[in-house]
Amino acid sequence: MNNPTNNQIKKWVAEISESQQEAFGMLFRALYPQLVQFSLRYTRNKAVASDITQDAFVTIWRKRREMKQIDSPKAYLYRIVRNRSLNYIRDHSSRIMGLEAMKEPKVEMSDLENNEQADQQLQLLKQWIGELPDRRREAFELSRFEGLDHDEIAEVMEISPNTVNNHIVAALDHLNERHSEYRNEANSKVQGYD
Amino acid sequence: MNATVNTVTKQTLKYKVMTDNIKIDGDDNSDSRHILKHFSEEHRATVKHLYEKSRQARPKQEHIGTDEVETALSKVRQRLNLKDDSQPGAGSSTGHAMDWKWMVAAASVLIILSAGFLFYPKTIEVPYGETMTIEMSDGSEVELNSGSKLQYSRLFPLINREVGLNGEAYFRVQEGSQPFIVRANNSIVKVTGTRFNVRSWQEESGTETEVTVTDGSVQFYPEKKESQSVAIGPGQISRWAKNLKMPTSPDSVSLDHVLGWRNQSFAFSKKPLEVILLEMERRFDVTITLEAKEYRSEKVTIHYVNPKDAEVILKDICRVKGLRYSASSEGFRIYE
Repeated sequence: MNNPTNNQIKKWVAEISESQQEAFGMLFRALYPQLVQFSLRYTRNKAVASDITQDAFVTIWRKRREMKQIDSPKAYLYRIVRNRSLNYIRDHSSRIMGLEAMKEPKVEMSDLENNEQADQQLQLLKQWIGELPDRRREAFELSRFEGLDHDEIAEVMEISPNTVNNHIVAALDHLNERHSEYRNEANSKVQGYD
Repeated sequence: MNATVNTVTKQTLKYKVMTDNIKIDGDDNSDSRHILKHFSEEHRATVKHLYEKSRQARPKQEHIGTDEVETALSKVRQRLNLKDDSQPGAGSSTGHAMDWKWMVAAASVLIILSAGFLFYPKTIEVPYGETMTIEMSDGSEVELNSGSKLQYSRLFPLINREVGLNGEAYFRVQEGSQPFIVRANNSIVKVTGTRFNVRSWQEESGTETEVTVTDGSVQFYPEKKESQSVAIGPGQISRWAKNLKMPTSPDSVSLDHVLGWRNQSFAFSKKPLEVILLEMERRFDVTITLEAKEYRSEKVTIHYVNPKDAEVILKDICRVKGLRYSASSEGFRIYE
């Protein structure tokens, strides 16, 4: 996981805008895997996710002269990949695919017991995140899974940073609520058997 | 029945331990602070924990290996007609069937191509956090500051003695029949045999070029305007930026300050804060975010002899300017 810093990315993009091919290779190697993973969460199809991500890089090179003006090239790449992934779902939707399918399956208590090794809290967290409304979950996942800051998420989702902030706060509010429910439940169960 | 009870108890305990173990100074960025303000005191610790733990809740990832990335890169390069560096020595020999005419043709193409290669300039780029000294084939020496880029022809010094600079460098130029020329941000420094420092970063606002001479003298002028040339002598500095018709008239300067970078010291007099922060980023290879944007052009004078890290400097700047700073995941952020 050698994630390049935003500074490093900016430097590459500055070089790319001067048609330096080595920098293009470096940017590609650094960001391609995470963008494919990101697209996969929408498209659920490796070949499609790879194509979409490669297209995004082709766009970057073709528009390299305009890239210098872009505030966050990383957010720009994520935006292209997200838009194309959403288009793909729209054009190939069979209702099961895409955002709906991104949700983690519900975790039952019995599953947890069967798999003591698994980090139970993590399983629950996945489930709770899956319960969030689509846009809210997207914003939250871009922040937590992709490590983008609020300004970048705003650019990726084409909404205001303020809305991003509201989404994240609302998402955490939900997680917090589910967490305390869960805790109370667990406590009362213990007491019930005592 | 008993088994169930035990499991639940264990889970509860695990939770307890986890929530108690919250690191308050973890990945503290402005976003998370901003978010936490929305929650009441009693919930804050749990919310922060959930926020941080969520990072690990990413669904299982498919493995994407280096081979796959390289194949994808080759595909993209093919689509764009770019050269491919992933298969060194690509292309195969076609055996002995070629007749001599073809050989001659191939050889002449090769000669033309390699001549082209000779005109393709050589670029030297110094990584952040390091400095570098280069000895040129004419015996001149160039000492480069962190993050600087130097470009020159592969035929140097046969056709001319010209170098391009983005960054900061100290030149010790060997006397020669041809003038030694430094091109930096549309300005030119022309010398015969002398020692001088050029500071010219494209990234800095205003992209000012500063020339300081330690020995001898240099001619300094905007590109294609040699008539506007200014002569700079020992111990003098002159500046030029695109909004100026000609370089400023030479002024005396403390050489210790200007050349400090060569001895790992860090000195600036009355420079905008943002310029100093950029220099710190290059010198210490950290990212510094100035959130208090109004302070961007605040003038700062500092002098450190061999500072051990960026924080030493940051601490003082913040104290003097009434700012605060904290460590972020990539480096530091400065706020009011």
